[in-house]
Amino acid sequence: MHAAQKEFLEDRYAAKDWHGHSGSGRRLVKEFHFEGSELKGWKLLKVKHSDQDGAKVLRSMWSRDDDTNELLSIDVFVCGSVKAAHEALLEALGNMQSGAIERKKEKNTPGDVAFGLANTVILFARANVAVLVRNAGPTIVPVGTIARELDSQIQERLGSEK
Amino acid sequence: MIAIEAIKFNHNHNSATHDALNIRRNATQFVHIPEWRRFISVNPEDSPAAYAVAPTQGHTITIEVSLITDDPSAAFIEVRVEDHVKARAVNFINGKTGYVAFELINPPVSHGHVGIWDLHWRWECRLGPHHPWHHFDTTRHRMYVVLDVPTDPWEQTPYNAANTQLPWTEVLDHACHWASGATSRDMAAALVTQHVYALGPTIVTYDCPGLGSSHYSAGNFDCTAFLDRLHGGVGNGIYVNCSDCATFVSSFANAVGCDLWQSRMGFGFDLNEMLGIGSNVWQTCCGFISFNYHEVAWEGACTVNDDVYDACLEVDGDSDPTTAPHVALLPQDLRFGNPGDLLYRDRLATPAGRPNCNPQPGTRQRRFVV
Repeated sequence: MHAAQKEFLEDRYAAKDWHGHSGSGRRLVKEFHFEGSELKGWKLLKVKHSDQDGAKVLRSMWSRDDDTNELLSIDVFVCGSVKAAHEALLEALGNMQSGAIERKKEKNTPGDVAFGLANTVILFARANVAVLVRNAGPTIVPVGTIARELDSQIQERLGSEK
Repeated sequence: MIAIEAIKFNHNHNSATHDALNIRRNATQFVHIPEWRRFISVNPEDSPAAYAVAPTQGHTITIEVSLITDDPSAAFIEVRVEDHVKARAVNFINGKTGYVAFELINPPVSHGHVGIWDLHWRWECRLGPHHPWHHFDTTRHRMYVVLDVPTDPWEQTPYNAANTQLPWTEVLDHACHWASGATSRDMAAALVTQHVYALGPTIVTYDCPGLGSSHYSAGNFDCTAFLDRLHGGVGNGIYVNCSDCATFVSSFANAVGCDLWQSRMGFGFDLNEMLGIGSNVWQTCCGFISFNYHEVAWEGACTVNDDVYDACLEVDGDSDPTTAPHVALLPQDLRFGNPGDLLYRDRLATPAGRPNCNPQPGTRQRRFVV
């Protein structure tokens, strides 16, 4: 990311308050895959794997059963460290135009740190994993429950990898 | 029986002056040479070739054709396609001519503008100058004409099936259609901008629920998903942001020979009312007060003095872009400008926001196409 934009984002989103901090200690997720059964009621349409700045990136599309009017875009960045995951989170914030997105701190917020607005988009990081859950179809669906479900699955993987 | 066995349009991979460009179909499929093959190539799209106006100007375009015959007495004949392929004599040895060069007559690239032509060639032969011509075969081809050799992210080298950045015919199908008739880079870029903006609201629309996030351009340009969306598929969904639109415009315009970049401005500035792609409501984009950044297709060094093409939004084009009434203006070949110039910057950002809406040429890029 361009240095000036990164500086702007770090200031705008108070990165010094959260960057590099994790409630998971030193535990890291080594691998993350989508099998298609992770989200009840949702069908995995496609998943693309790539490497980006050292992170394993999964970009996936899901439909509510066969209804392509209800689509979710879920991007998962499995990074080498907590700091790297938070860099991926900043990178994702850097691809959001609106200045309206805010840090979420309420109860049940997924991840060690999360950003979102109006339950239509959420970006969070748990340990070394950053996740972006967004609407991709014309019928808007709430994303909070989905994000919490994914966060639970990430935490389960943390628990099993010591 | 005499027949065409194969035709090469791109017979010199190191040059675009006398023959076709190096191309592929999409991310996974290569265009093999010869482009036209007997019994394999049926429809025009089975035999694609792309030509660039600038490097071919003043040059004769040639193709290489291989003919066969099962007539052991056939040795020397003249062959042509009336009005398309100049007549010349060929020799058969053991029923084959091998590849022989033919000159094209007034090929589409000589018209000097962007377009797509589907050609049906009726091949004729005769025994000599005083004999009548006889039709013996028909071949069909699709010719794309672009203004110049495609610029990055599109490449001409290395020329092999592993190079996914060779221009894609699936991109040219849209880009040459959108920019059809363009005789200059600015015109082509403007037409592509208009067509991308016109994809809203059915094909794509501004990502209000995702707060304007990138769906097709985070990292690389997911051109495969965008093409799927254009063809009626799901793609990466209906939502786009400025980076997506800048990437669509620059990548498709550069495929027809433009020379645009994806570059950002910012950071953190308040907005005038606008029409986001897919919207008919004048408001600050989705009601957002400000943009953290904005990205457009940009010429040259992507500075205040360079022109932008923005398919993401229409700005107010009247003498006061800060208040209603509004006159919709799609920014095309519009200089970015300084505060007070009443150019792109003033139309996008509020007077208070303009000092923070600065070109960021360090962000200039052309995303890799996947």
